[in-house]
Amino acid sequence: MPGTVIERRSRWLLLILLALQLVLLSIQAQAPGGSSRLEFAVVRTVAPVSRAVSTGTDFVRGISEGARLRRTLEHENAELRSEVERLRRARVEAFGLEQELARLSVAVDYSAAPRGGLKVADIVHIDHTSWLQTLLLYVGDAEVVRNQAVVSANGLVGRIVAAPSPYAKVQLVTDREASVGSMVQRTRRQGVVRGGSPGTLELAYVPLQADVRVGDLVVTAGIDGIYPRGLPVGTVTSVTPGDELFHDIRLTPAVDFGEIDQVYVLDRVPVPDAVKQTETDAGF
Amino acid sequence: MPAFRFLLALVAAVALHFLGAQIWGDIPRLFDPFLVLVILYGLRGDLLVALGVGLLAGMVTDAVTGGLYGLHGFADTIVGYGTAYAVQRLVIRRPPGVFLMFALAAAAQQAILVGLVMLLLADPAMPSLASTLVKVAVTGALGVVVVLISRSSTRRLDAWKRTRTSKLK
Repeated sequence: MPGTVIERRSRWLLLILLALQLVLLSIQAQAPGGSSRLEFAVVRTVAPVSRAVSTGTDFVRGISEGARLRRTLEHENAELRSEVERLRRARVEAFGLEQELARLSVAVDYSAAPRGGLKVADIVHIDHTSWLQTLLLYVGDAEVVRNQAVVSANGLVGRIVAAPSPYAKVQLVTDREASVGSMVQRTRRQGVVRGGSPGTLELAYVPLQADVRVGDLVVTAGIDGIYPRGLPVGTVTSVTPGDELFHDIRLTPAVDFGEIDQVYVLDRVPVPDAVKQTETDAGF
Repeated sequence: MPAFRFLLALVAAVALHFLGAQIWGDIPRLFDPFLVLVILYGLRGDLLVALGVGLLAGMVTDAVTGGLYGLHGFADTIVGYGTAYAVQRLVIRRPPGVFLMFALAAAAQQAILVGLVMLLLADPAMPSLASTLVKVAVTGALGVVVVLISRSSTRRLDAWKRTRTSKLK
């Protein structure tokens, strides 16, 4: 029977092939790590397929990676566009408010105190630790007069008490003799800041019923004819009931006098003493 | 033409193997496209063809996997021959039978491989029972899918040929 012959032949072929492969395997098992020429040949034949597959998958990965990156960028771009749009609207609103404020000021005949410019002055001498509390500035040719406010980037430094050109002498806010019309920024409660123990300040004349808390910022009130409104003076560090009707409030100065080497003299002309005197005489 | 078709199928199996490895490194452990090819050819019932296909596919498997060169060649040769031998004596048409055939062939391949490495190597690395069971199940399921697709496409091709012949007449 032909089927039987083929079967017999194939069985012999199977046995021969298996025997050959067993020999091949045995040789390899005795010398592990070695590779036969047959293996090299097959690997060399198969390798291009591996490379093609690798290239294909890399290509697909590259496309998906690019698409992901593009989605991220698109998302980020959309967010930035929306932010720009929001800021543009805010700017327009702010401009509108500014215009409205200007119109209202005209309508009620309101005249804001002139803000004035700044003059930079170098400090040539400072003594903030002793009781003298002195600051000497070199102002050069700049015209400075008594009672002009002196500030730093952090807040109020003091006021000019003498201006022998080209120098100016400054009374620091920490001086016992200095007094600054101030207010608690949070509540607008007014008082007077004076120099306390060396390096500290006191906020006086704040009634016991007033709400003052540790951490409150105290700024100039703009009521003393010298300092403009809103300059940081100090921060409340303690609030205790005083002997009489007022709080005993301690402040830390807004300015660290040990760190400043340059200050700004405000161009704002202070209210002349003569005018203040006239108001007093008129009974205001 | 049949040889060319086999070569194409072999290249496809190689590509599938590398693709699986690229997608997830453990796929080649759980799925052997060369074995599916060997069983598919074995299902035709031609002993010599099954022998040749088993040997070649096994050698290529050895080239793309680690271990001694010839392990899969040896195992797949037996599996291909055994499948063809079984098909000559059994009628396997329904999907459960096809599944069983593929699964048994995969189990036999694993058993031969384990036996060989135990025989040849002093301290062989053995596949885990779980991965072996998964491989057997995956091969069985995949075999059913491939056989069903193959039968369906053959039927369509035959229908198309008949239609074309009647139109020419």
